Amino acid sequence: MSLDLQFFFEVLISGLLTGVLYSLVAIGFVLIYKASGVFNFAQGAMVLFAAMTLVGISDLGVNIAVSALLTIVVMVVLAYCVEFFILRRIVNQSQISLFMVTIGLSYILLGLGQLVWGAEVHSLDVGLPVGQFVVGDMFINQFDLSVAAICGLIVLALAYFFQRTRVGLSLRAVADDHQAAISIGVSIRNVWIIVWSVAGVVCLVTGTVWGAKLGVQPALNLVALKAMPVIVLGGLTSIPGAIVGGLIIGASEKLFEVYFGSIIGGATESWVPYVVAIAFLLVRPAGLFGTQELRRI
Amino acid sequence: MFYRAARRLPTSYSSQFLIIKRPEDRILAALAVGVAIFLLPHIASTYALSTLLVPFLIFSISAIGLNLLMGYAGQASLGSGAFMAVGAYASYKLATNVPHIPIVLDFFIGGVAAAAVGIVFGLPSLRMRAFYLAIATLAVQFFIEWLFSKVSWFWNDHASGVVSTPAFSFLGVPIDTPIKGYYFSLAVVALMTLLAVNLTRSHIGRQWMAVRDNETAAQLMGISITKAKLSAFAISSFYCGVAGSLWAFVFLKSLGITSYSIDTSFKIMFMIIIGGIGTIMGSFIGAAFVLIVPILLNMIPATMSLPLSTGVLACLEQIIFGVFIVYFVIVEPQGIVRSVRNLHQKLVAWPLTVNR
Amino acid sequence: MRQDSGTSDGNCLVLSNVSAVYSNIITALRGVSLAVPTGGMVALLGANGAGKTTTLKAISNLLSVERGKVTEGTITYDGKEIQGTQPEYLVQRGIVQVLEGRRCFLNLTVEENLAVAANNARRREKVLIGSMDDIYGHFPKLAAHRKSEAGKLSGGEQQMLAIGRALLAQPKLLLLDEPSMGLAPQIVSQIFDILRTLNSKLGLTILVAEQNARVALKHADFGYVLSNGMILKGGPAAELSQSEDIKRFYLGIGEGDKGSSVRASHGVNIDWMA
Repeated sequence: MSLDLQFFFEVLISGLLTGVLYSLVAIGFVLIYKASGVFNFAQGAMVLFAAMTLVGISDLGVNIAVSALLTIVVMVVLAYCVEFFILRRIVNQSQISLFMVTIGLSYILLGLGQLVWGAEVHSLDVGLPVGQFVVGDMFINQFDLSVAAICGLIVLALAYFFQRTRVGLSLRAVADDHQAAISIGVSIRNVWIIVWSVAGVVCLVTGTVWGAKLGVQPALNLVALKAMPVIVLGGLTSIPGAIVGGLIIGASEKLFEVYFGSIIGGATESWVPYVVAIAFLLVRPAGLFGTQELRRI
Repeated sequence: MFYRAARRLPTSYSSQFLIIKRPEDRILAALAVGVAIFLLPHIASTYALSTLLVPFLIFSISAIGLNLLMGYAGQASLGSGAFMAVGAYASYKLATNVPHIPIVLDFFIGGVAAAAVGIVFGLPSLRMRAFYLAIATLAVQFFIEWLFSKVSWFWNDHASGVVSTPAFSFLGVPIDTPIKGYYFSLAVVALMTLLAVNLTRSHIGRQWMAVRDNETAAQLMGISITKAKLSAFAISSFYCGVAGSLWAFVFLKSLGITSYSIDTSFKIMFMIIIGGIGTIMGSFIGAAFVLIVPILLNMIPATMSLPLSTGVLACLEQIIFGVFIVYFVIVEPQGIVRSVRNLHQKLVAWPLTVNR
Repeated sequence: MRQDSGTSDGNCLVLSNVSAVYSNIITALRGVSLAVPTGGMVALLGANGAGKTTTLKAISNLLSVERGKVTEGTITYDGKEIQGTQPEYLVQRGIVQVLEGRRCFLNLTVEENLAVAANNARRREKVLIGSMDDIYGHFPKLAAHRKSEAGKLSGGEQQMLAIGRALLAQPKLLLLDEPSMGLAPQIVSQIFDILRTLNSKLGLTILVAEQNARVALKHADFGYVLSNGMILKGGPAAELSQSEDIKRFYLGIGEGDKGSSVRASHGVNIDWMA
């Protein structure tokens, strides 16, 4: 394989694997949006909060598996609090209001996380492999591959949950028409708590993985800003969309930066994902896998 | 009792079009203007003038701009910071490279440049709505931030990315002290507010509101959606552009991209949500709130002499600000303006209470 | 119509002097009193904006979703007051509403729509409907479209799906909000026939809000007329459909001014457009 082509594939694969990390965050978004109709800007803050809690607890000397369990408990408590203090009281407000509330929530979580666990960078070692696979002449990062595998597992688990379980069906019903769901007895509160808890667990996995790669630091929160073009490209209500979107964004961002970035000044990753997302949206306004609203006029 | 409601019926067409209808309200408005022009600059400290009042005035302009776009025309936008930047940098280039145009005119042209950019980046609104559109505007925000930090032509190739803005004068008076900066900003705000109020009451404003409320119905009525949306983006960006120029030339006296980041865009959005989306008054109330609350929060530990480190303080402020936002959206989603209007209605009916 | 408040005496549902507002500003209901006898079928008539939907949502406690609330009066179900009870508990106790505009889960299949209701009711005793097959028995058209997405069904089929779904939630009192809206007369007839069957054969108490007075009064036992948030008239359906006022306002038959205020038999102005 020629050196140029090999280089291209290395960049491509590296981009794809970074994209998987974005997909993990996007999956959390999609869960929450599907079931509570809320575009959760606080997703990044939740990822950071989960990672900080995990690191904080394990730094106190607790075994990492137990720390993970305790963090899950924390995230469930968070889900309860969000439902009780916030979601219950903003039923039926405008989308902008809901979005604003999540921005407020993100500030609260960021402040709280730093207050409790401090602002230094923590390293996180969860035992994921850190070598390199060698395929032909190319190097593929083992860590990134394991992350991709984890992501795949999460997606399968969620798909099963949504399509085959009673709770999953109720969630889909609530996502479809939440007033109608209430009228036939679905408990919206329980649905929300479950969804936010599941999203919290996904955040924990995401935070762990990101934290292991980059270290647990406040900048992790900016990860959310990367995930937004992903979900918008993939469609706000679709988990496969989140995956595909993540791959596309990750790959295009990396390729653009490597091949064109140096010509125009570098650091293009801040906006290229968004432009790519818009380009796709112009062709498919609801995202690649998003459901077109069925609107009766 | 405070307001006479009986027999206050309009007797001519022109009286129907008055901006402030009740005589009692006109007195209040005149009082407010009088205080702003004559009283405030003399009783306010230089600190208050320069760090509170001038930013308040400048951001009010941005808030009005965003309110026109989001509140009246119903188009989501998270790129207001970027449009401020476009105005600021355009004015700067004109001020430094085309010296025979008075700098005050450069602000206006900078605003027009921002409007042009606004039209271009408002094009996605023709195809997308709500969150998708918001994400598209984020693209603008990040792209502009990148552009103004990488392409050195914009700051005349100075070594440092942050440059100082040239001094300017208005009608022969150099705007170099806080008081003069205050008066100049006040004049600009007054002009822009009058313009905005008239816009919202004109056919353009009505078209925006029609598009906001029911785009399909508006289209069926013969309103050009394209013109309505793009004009909203253009005019809103114009306002943000002018505000951006004022921010650089009057307040900071320097130009750097960090003041026009996504945090600024969010700040402006908070202003209109907290103040009252879809109202001009709300832009002012929101701007005042968002700018003053952090300062108040900063003052509390000092006055209570709590021994908190700056790090802890910063975290607490962040938490409290977040709580405020959540609280406001829950309790008063239509903004403080709604509470003020409710109070106003009660005053009109007092001592007879409004039927509960 | 005089009401005894508080006690049940054969009445499944009693509203006593209920007032409701939206956003603390718009008064939607003013002192509404009505009774629905157990096992009966009652029609709540009124023009657009009269307050029918508000009344039904007040009963099901769904007003808060639209920033509405009950400010006065009591709603008694089976002898107990239910204002403020969480909607999901009301469903458990047997009050199920079919919302205005059908509101099927458009992205779910017919079967999934029904399953949502069935799942939530699986721990309750099956008083009314045993299983989904019973629903398919009442609504054969749904059986044919079992696996189709609800969004692709016609208006009439969606209405049947909404009713079937509500039935699977094991209601003792079924509330329907304008089931005839937007449907062809033949379908409306079919639907009301099915409702009448459910009422007479299965003893399901039904309160149906309708603008279409003719169809509603043809099938119901009792009726109330709502206008501007107040009950104007109530009585046995046969009497109401013979009443001159109703004939004039809703059926367009009879003498009198066309399109202007007319005095009703007890001296209250009723606007044509309500």
